[in-house]
Amino acid sequence: MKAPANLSSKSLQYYVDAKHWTSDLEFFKIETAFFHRLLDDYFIRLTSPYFIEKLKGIEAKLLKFEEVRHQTDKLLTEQIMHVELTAEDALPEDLERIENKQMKLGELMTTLIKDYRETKKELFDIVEKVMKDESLFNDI
Amino acid sequence: METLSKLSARALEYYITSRRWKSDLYFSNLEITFLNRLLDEHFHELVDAGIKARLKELGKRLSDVVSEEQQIKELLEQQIEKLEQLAKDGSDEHTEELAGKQAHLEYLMMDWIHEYRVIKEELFLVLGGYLDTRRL
Repeated sequence: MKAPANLSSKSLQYYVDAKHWTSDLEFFKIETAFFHRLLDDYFIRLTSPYFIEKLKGIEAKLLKFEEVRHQTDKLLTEQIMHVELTAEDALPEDLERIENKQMKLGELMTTLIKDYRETKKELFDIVEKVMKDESLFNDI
Repeated sequence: METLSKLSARALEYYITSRRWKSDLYFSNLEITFLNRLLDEHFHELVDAGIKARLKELGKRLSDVVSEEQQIKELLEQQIEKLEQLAKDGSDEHTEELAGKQAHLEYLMMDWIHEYRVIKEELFLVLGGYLDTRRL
């Protein structure tokens, strides 16, 4: 972004927040990739149909999360680009539009993080249970 | 808390942000417990010396992060208590001190989250690599 001085302090704050959220989403991408690998490792070795189903459920939730994460990321990129174009005087500053979009993005991020944490809690819980019980594994 | 409506918009924002940070730290705590379990009980005895050393070092950094987390949590609790007290008293809360503490907390939280994520990323890299070799 070339000329942040052209922006109102509110738009600049929204820009910083949007960049911060983008960085959160980028990290979630790395994290979910690891969780998929971890779950795959358990799938291969588990014998209990109950736990296999549980892990499949978590896998499905993680996939859904990634879909929402991707959509939110697109919306964030649009917002960042819009504010950058405003800063470069390519667009007039429409604070109402930026503000409305930022509010929606804030709500999306809150829900996304809440749902993600619930899924992670489920994952921690089930992996803990599986770790405690060696009899659930194949001898490989 | 009904009395919170007595706070100025700025102080209320501090309060909400501080509560959110506290909740972030609480969740990270659950996560670190899980990561430690994964390190100690699942991987520790299974890996080669090089990986063991890296995991040990990451485990140490995780425990440092936990200590820092405790310190930040205490500071957050002090700030939350202070704001709740101001709401009860209905006094003018526009103090330099409050703003200064909030800025300090923001810096601490940003720094903490950054360090925690760096450690997690390294951990995912090492453990992910290990999981891949196990699948071969």
